[in-house]
Amino acid sequence: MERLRRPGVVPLIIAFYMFILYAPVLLLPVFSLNDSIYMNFPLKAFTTKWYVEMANDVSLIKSLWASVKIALIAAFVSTVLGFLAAKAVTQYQMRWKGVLIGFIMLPLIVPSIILGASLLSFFRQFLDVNLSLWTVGLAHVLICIPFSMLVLVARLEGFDRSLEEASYDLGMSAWQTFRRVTLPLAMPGVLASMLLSFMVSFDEFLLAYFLSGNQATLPVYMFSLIRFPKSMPAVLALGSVILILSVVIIVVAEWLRRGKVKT
Amino acid sequence: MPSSEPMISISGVSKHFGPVKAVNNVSLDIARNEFFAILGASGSGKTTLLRMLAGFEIPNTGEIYIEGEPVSEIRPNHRPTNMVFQSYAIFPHLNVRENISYGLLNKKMTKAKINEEVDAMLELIRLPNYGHRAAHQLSGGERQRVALARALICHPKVLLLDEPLGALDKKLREEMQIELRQLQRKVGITFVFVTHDQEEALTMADRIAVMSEGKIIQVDTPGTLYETPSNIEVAEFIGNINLLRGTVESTSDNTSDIVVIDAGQVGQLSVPKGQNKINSGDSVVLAVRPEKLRITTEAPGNGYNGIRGKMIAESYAGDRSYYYLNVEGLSRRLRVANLNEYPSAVRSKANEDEEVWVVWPIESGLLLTA
Repeated sequence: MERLRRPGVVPLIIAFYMFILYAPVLLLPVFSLNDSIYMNFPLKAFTTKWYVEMANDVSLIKSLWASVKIALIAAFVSTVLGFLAAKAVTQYQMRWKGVLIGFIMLPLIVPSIILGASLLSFFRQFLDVNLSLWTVGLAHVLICIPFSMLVLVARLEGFDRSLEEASYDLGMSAWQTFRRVTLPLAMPGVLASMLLSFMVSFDEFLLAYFLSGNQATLPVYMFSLIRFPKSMPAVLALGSVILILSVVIIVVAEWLRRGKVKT
Repeated sequence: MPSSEPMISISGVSKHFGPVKAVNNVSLDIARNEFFAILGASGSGKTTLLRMLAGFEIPNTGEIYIEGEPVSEIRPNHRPTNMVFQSYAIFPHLNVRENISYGLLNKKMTKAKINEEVDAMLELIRLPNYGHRAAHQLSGGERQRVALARALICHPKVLLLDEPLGALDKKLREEMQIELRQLQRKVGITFVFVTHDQEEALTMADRIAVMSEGKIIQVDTPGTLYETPSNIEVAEFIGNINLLRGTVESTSDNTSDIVVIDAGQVGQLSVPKGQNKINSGDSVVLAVRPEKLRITTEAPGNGYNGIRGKMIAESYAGDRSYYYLNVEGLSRRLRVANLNEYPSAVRSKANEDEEVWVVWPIESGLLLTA
């Protein structure tokens, strides 16, 4: 232990960890600005042409929009459902509460490949519906609910029940109470849940791979491009853009989640 | 104060939570403009009763009438009652003005009219410049006043208060006791409050209902409740009291007569018969408050009871001192309270382990049936 305390050793270890964790990710933006279709050193010349190429790739933009649409819907639906579940769990004493929460959380630990395979046979053989962005969206709602639920339970716990009772007592209906008291107080949690669900859905690959029809989502489309070196740089460019947006969204979500109810 | 038709009439109301009878067949009338206290230990059902008045709980049996109208079917948002919650439940996302005006939002009122009403309320609670303060900037006492204003602005027929002073420190609590009373007189609204603090109930209320295990065991004015509790439970719950058990030796039919009881080793004691119907040989209890007792070295004179005891402890509480005595034949220590009127009286008249007389005028005792 003493040896580790020597100046310079701990920072060195931290630097090493950081390198292992982030170097591969940071290669993305570096090579996306390099004038070569191959990802190797030494770097050749600075260019932004891959970003232009990315913007001009029609199927890429289409798949990007498909993913954004699915993620928006999944974020909204899972937040609504997660909110209802979180409200019930935090407000009422109920039997089997632990079991109930367990079932809602289950998609977190069921391997995606199993979930994907079973949803595929459920949609195709059992319901006989055609695969489309809708089937992907439904699957994404399923895996986003646990995240919404976790964020919202944390927010609604410690919520003073008498605030809602006070509103009711002061003449408001149940709906008015929800709109004027419950929702504003839960808002940071609601926004955090939406952002988190959006991200979970947006970069989800396995379920989308199983369940998408003719229109691929962005991760699926990107995966299909990786086989062709020529299209790699545009993927890198898009990857860099998404990376930066993801970091921003997650930071904002965390920041919102940590805001406590002031009472 | 009390007029002919009660403001609130609770008739045979019971409320069960599973097997627990929180409120058990309670009947009670509360008069118009009365400041009414429901006093009880935690778990006595007092809060459940208050929540039934507010509409948050529905009675399983019985009915509650407000100005003669049954209200069980009426939801909290349509009842002519408003509540001050124990936690005050100030909306944290709204400022003071928005909190107070909350109950007016549903009424068809102009903004100017609402502002006028809020200003009047801020004046009433003596926080005139607090309108724009955020909820988290308020102290405990200020939060309570805002909660009061927020409820009163709706002009309820009945204001319900759940442990209104419980969250405040001692000094502020004493101030608010007086202030709440003045406020109640000023607005002329029936106040019903729940408390576990007997002092709070005695100082503020016109009448007090004492609750225990879901039942009301006595309803009376503070003075009557303290001086002549109707049973041992009430006597012990409110203030301190010494209980001396014995059997009736002689009795007569006249209510003003004095009863002599045999308290075993403690000796013979006299006590006014009061309203009790008793016969010779009945086991009874003589109850006497600590402040009615005096410690002396001399045997009691005519019209006084006296018992011998050994001083075992005294505790000095500033304005008064408490003395504890062991009395032969008494399972509990006798408690005596004396006001420290003079500086010299701060020290007791007796030393520890000294045998002394404890005396009290016969009419200060109270006869209770065991």
